[in-house]
Amino acid sequence: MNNLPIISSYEVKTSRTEQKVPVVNGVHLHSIYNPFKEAENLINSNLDALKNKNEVLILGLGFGYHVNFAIEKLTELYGSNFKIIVIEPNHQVHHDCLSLDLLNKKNVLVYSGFTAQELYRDLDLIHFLLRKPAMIAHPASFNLYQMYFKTFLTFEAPTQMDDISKLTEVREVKNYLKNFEPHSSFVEAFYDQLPQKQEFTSMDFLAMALVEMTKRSGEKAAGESK
Amino acid sequence: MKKILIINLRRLGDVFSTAHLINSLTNGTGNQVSLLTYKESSRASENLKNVTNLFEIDRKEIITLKTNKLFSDGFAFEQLFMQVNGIKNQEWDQVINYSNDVVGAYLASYLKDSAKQVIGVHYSHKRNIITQNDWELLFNDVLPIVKYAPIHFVDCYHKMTGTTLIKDGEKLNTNPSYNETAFSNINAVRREYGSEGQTKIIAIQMKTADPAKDISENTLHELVHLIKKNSEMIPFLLIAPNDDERRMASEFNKVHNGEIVVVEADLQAVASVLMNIDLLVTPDTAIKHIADLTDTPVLEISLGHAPFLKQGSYTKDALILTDIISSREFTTGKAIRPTAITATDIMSCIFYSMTQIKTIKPRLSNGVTLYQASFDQMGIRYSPIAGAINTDIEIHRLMSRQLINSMFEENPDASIYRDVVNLDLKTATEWTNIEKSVVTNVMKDILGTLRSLLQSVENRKSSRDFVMNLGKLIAHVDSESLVQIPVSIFKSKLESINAKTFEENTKEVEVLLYELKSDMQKILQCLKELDAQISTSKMEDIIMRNLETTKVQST
Repeated sequence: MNNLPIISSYEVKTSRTEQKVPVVNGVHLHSIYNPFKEAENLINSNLDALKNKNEVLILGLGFGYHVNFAIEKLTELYGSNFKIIVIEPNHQVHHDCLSLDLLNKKNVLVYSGFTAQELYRDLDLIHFLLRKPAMIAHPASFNLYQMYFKTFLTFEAPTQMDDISKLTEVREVKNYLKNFEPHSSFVEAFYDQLPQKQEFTSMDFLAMALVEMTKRSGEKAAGESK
Repeated sequence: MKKILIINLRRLGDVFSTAHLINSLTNGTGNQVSLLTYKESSRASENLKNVTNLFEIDRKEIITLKTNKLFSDGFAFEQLFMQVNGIKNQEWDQVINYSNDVVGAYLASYLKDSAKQVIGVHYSHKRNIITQNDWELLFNDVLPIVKYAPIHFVDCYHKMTGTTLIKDGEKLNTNPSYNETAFSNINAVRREYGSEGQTKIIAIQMKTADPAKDISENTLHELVHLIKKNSEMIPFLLIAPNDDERRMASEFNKVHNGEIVVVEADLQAVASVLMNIDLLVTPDTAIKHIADLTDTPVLEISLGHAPFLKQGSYTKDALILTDIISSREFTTGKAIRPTAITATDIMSCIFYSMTQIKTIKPRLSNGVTLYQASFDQMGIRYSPIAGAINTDIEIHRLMSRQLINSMFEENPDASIYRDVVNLDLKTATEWTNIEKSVVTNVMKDILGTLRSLLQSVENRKSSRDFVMNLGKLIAHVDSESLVQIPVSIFKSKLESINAKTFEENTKEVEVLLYELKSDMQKILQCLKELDAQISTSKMEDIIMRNLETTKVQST
């Protein structure tokens, strides 16, 4: 469930309008007749979303025709104040898109060839997602890599402390989290085990600050004694 | 020169209120004060003057990372660590927990290793509450339980930190261009509607974040109508720059044929507006706190649970209009009664505010009181000057203040006794007698507890008696008399005892009991001095009456 899709065949064709079209596992990722027109239609059908948000998450890169149209629209709406992140499971497609110089890179960041787990380790992506960007699914890519994108959209982060500590990057935090029982959940560790400690370290106080800060958001809290 | 960090994780109004302490800490001292707030309060913290560094915790982001299953819970902790890291890596002379909440206490505890001194509630490594001084105990353990707070939060923070209140000094950053625009636009309105020198601008803050604190729409309409009738006053409506408030103001203004000036200003721009008006009429809002910092005259309409005694307008001569204090409920969650305050009451107070000579007090509806702020040695004091007055409660408030002067500063304020007596001589006498009998009962309980404590040292089986007596003594925490203050402090200190052996424990309890006994004696001393003032006032009354009689006879 957390793997990249299997690519059994890959070729690049040319459309009637002389644009390059990637064909993955026999699926054309853009229209073989007029990729530009198709891309324009896709972005126009998502115009309301773009008018509301200057940050956009695009699922599927293909050869970037729809991304370029999104850039055009966002530039009209926001000047240079916008950001696009594209998630693409197929690194080869991304590589060829860049080699063929098809992608306008203005304010665009592409994550290609990463599993969902790897993506959700990236703090920049996490901060971007926390800002609730508009989302556009490239239909051909989304249908081809359905399991991949579903895994991405319904991802559940690991809950056990040993997995959680592996995901953190800050050394002091990583070392601190390793002190807890590896198979306990974060909630058990912070809300149950921690308040029972007899002696508190400096980091324990920071952890309790987090517990208190997040308590009202409906988290379970162990009976904390004064 | 000290490097000081203030942790204030409260809301906008409370963050603005911090400016008083910051001003006192930095004015002429060279101290560098930094401030830690939640990101959502940055609109307030960014406007405060004399702040060296602003630190923020993005609470919304941390909660989202914690609660959303997409993200590892570890990220929430990591984010918090990184957001506070810039503070942790510095050396501080003082970290002040201004928040007085649990998160603030834990953060102060976390930062303890980076600070020479932590002021405000925080924890030891065994998670016992640590307090530096009795002012902290008063703030944390007494003020939350006394119904009528005798001291304002701003004053309490000054006392906790050992800082002298400095009222002078600029406390807010303002935008010079906004200042100029506000000055010229508001004067243009004055010229258009009247004369620049005489026309008074009365700005009304329309909305609060809590509907229970709002002035009702009908009252606002009537008030605006009354102000308009006066040719020397112009009403302004103050709103925030958002669609909801624009819509509300537009609907409101339709009733007045679109004639009311609506001023839309964010938290920075509103300061420029406030500096150019003559009076702000406002419920308990962040705007009120900003007006305190711009020295704008304020008429606060205290409604709902607004705790005006602890957090009312902090400006000399500020007026606070409220339902009679005995009908107010200051604890959030408890039911509140409909207000008796009318537009006519508010208008009467506006007139009072505008007059130079203050001998004629406003006439108010039944059950409505007008308080005026003044400063004494403890800080700001709210005195009832018109309307319905519950003399018992007002005497209790004043004498609680006096008790705190005696207990904490050993410096009673003689003017308080005169003010008590001026409220009502007969009530003062009755009140004093009741208090004396309460103190007598508490003294009996203290002595009983001491006796049983000493007996339990000799014979452990007597511990049960000691526990019972102690329970009886502590029950006075619920008393509505002066004893509530020292007994609450006693109880808090008792709960913080961290003795290892029975003997150590006994010794510490004994010391606390003697301290409590000493506090009772301080109460008695205050009551004795009040008695003396009552006697003096009675004599003065007799002399005055005799003089009057002599005058009449001679004519």
